[in-house]
Amino acid sequence: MNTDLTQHHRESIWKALSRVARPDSRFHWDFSSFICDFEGSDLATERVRELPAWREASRVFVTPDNSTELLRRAALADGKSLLVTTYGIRRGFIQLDPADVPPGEISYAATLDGIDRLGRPVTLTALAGGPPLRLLVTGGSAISRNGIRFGKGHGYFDLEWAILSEIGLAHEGSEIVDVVHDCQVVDVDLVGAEHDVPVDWIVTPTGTIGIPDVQRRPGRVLWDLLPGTEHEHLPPIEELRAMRTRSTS
Amino acid sequence: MSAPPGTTAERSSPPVARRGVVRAPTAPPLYHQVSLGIEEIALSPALDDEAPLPAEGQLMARFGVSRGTVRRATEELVRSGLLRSEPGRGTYVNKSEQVRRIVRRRLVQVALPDSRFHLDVKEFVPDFDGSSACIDAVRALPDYVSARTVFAAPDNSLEMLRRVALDDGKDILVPTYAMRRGFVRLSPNAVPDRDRFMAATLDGMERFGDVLDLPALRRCPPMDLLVTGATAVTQQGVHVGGGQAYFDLEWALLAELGLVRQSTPIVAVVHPCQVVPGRLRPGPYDVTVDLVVTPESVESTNRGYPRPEGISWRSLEPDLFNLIPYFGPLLAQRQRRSSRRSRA
Repeated sequence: MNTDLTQHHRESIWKALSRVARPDSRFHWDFSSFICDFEGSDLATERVRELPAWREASRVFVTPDNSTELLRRAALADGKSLLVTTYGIRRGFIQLDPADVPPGEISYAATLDGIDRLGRPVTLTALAGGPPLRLLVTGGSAISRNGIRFGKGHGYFDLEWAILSEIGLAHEGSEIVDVVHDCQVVDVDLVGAEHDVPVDWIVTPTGTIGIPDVQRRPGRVLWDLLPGTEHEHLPPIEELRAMRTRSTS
Repeated sequence: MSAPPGTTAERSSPPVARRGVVRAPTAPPLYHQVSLGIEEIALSPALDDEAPLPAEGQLMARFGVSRGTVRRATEELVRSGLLRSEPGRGTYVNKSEQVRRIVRRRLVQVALPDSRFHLDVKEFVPDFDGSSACIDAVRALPDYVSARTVFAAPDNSLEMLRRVALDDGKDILVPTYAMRRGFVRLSPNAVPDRDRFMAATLDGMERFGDVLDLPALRRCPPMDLLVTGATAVTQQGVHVGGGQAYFDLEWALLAELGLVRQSTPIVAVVHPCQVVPGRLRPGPYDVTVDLVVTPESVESTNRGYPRPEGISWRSLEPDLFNLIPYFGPLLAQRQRRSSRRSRA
C-alpha cells in the first residue's frame, strides 16, 4: 500500500470528519484512540438492516466502535445475538443475547459499558464449532472505493477476522460491511497488504456500495508478525496459540 | 487535541510498513530495572515525607550497579512524581504519589474493569463490588435527603448514584471525563424515567443533559452536596485523586463561581482498601472531604483543613488551562474586570 497516498487522504478525511463526528465520552476528539460516531449513522444503520445478509443472520459480529453503536442496538431490537470484542480486544470476546437485555434497556445494552455489564465473556473454545457468521460489521477511519480499509485503528478488525476465521466462525459465506461517513470513502483503488481484509459492502448515510469481485483469502493469523507488537499477548491470541500447540502435540 | 494523559489503549495498526521485519522483544534497560527495585523500597508505607531513601552508595551496593545507573533510575522516579531530590539532604518519597501507587495495587484486585480502560486504574475511578451499598448509605444521609442540587463525579462507582438522584428528584451536575467538554446538568423533568439508565452513564450523559457553557454554569444554583470517588482517602478526609487532580480543579472552579462554600458537605465513596491510615498533609489546593463512605461504614473525618476559595491561576498547568473549556473565558473576564478597575 502506498503510505504517502494514504497519509494525505487520512489528513483530509480527518478534517472533514471533524465536522460531522461526535466526541467520545473519554477520548474526546482524539480520533487515534477510537472510531467515532458521526451525523447520519442512523441512516447508515437502516441501510445495513436492508441487506439480505442482515436478515439471514441470527448472530452478528459487530466491532466496539462508536459508529456501530446504533447497529448493535438494531441487532438486539431485531432479535439477533451480538458477538463483540472488548475495546482493543484487551479482554477478548463478549456475547450478548437479546434475552439478556432487560426491557427498555437496549440502548444501554448497545454501548460498550452496557455490553460489559449485560453480556458474557466467551472463549474461542466455546465459540469454535458454532454456526459460522453470515455477517460481520466494522467501522473504520477510511476506505478505498474498492473496499480496502486504511487509517488508524483498522488493524483490529483484520485481527478479529483472522481469529474468527481460524476457529471457523468466519468463512467464504460470511459478508463484511464497513459503516462509514461519506467523507471517509476515498475515490481510489488500493491494493491491500497480506493481512488487510477487503470488505463486501461500504454503507454510508447516503449509499450502499456493493464491491464487485471481492478477492479475499481465508483469514489467518500471521504469527510471524506478532512478536513485539501490542497484539502478541491479547487473550484470544494466547488462546489460539494454546489451541494450536494442543493440536500439534 | 491530545488524548487524556497516559492513555494506553491507542488503536494503532499492525506494522504494515515493516513487513518482513520481526521485532524481537528486548529486555528493558538496566536503569529501568533498578528503578523498579527502588520503587519497591519507596512504596514501603513506613517511608514518609520526612524519612529519606537509602543513600546512593547503599543503593549501588544493594543492586550491584554503578552510581550512574542508580542516578538514572532515581531520575526516572523523580520524573514520574514518586521521588524528589533535595540537594544536600537526600532523596525523599512524595507521600501522595506513594499512597496512590500502593492503593492502586490493591484497587486493581477489586476493581470492575472499565469498558475502554479495562483495569488501567490510573485512567479512571473504578466501580467495585459493594458500591451499591455505598449509594444506599449516601441516600440515607440528611444532607442528601435535603439536597436539591448534587454534584456527582463522573466515576464508574457513582453511576448508580447519578441515576437514583434523578429518581429522588434532584438536579445533578456532572463533569465530563477529564472536564474536556465542561459540566453537564441533568434534571429529572428533562430525563424521562426510561432514559435515566442511559443518562447516568458517561456515554449517555451528554445526550440527555445540558452541556453548560460558562454563563449557564454561573446561573446554576449552589451545590448542596458533592459526592466523589477517589484513588485514596485518609481517615482525616484528605482526598487523593489521580495524578491530574480533577476533583480539586472542579472544586476550585465551583468555588470561584460561588457555587460551593467552605461548609458545603463533601462525601467520598470508596472501597475499604482505599482508606489509608496515618496522616497525609494536604497540599494548598487539595480538597478535604467530610464523610468517607465504604460498603461497611460511614465515617466522619472532622477535617481540620480549610478548602481553597477559588482557582489558583498561577499553579494551573497550561495544558489543563487550554483543554478545559471554562478557564480561558473566566481568566479573560477577570482580566477585563481588573483592567477596568485600574483605569477607573
